[in-house]
Amino acid sequence: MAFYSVFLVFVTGLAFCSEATPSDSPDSKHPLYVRVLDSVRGSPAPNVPVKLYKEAADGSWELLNSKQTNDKGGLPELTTKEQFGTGVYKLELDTASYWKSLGLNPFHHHADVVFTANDAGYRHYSIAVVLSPFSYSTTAVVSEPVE
Amino acid sequence: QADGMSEVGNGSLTTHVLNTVTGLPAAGLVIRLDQLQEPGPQWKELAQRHTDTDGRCQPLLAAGQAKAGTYKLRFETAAYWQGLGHTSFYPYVEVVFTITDPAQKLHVPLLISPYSYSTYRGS
Repeated sequence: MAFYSVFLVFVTGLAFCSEATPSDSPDSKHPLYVRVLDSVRGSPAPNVPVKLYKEAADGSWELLNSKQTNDKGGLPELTTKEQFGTGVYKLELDTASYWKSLGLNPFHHHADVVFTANDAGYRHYSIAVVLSPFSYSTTAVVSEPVE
Repeated sequence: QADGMSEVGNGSLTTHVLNTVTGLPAAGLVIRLDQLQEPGPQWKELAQRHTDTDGRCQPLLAAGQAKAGTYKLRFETAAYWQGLGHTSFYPYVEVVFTITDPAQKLHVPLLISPYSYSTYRGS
C-alpha cells in the first residue's frame, strides 16, 4: 500500500516534469520539431501560429494540426509518430500576424515550408525558421533512420 | 542581348537564384509567378520563366503591370538539385508576398542549398 502511494507520486511527478519542460528537439514520440527565431530582436519568436498539412492523394492539403510556438519559439508536439508517415508535408507559419503584433508591416504574407518526410526510413526532423520583416530563412536537420 | 538587359532593368518584379553550395548562380531553374484571386483561395498563373547562367530571368512583372495584392513565386528547386545529382529536402520553394505599392520595383532573390533556403526583399 505504501509502495503504491510512492509509485503514484513518482509517476505524477514524472508527468508534471514532462509537461513543465517540453522537449527541445524531436524524439521518437514527436518526430517533428519546429523552432522559430526573431532575428530583429535576437530572441525566440513566441505565439507564431503554425499549421501542419499533409498532401493527400488528390494533391490537396489536409490540415493535421494548428498550434502556436511557445515561449522558446518551439513547437515540440506538432505531430506524433503515428500521424507522421511517409509523405509530403507543408508547414505554414503566419509570420505576418507575428510582425503585425509587434507593430511592423512585413513583406511576406506567410512562410511556407514544403518537405518530403520518411521516404527513406523513419527519421527525426528539426526545422528552424529565422524571421525578419523582409526576409526569412529555413534549415532542416534530418536524422539517420531511427528504426 | 543589349535589349534583354534593358528590359530586366525596367521590370517591377525580378528575382535571382544562387546556389550556396557552389557560390554560383543557379541556372536552368524554373520559376512561376501566381497572383491570389481575392479573397482566395484560387491562384492565377501570371508568368513562367527559367533562370539563365547568371541565375536571373526576364522580369516576372513588367513595369506598370503590378497591382497591389498577394503574389506567389514558385521555384522548382528539387528538379534543379536532381539535375546536379543532389537530393534535397524541399520538392519546391514557394514565397508568398504582398505588393502594397505597385510603382515600387521589387527584387525577390532566393539562396538555396539542399537542406536550407533563404529569401528576402531586395532592391
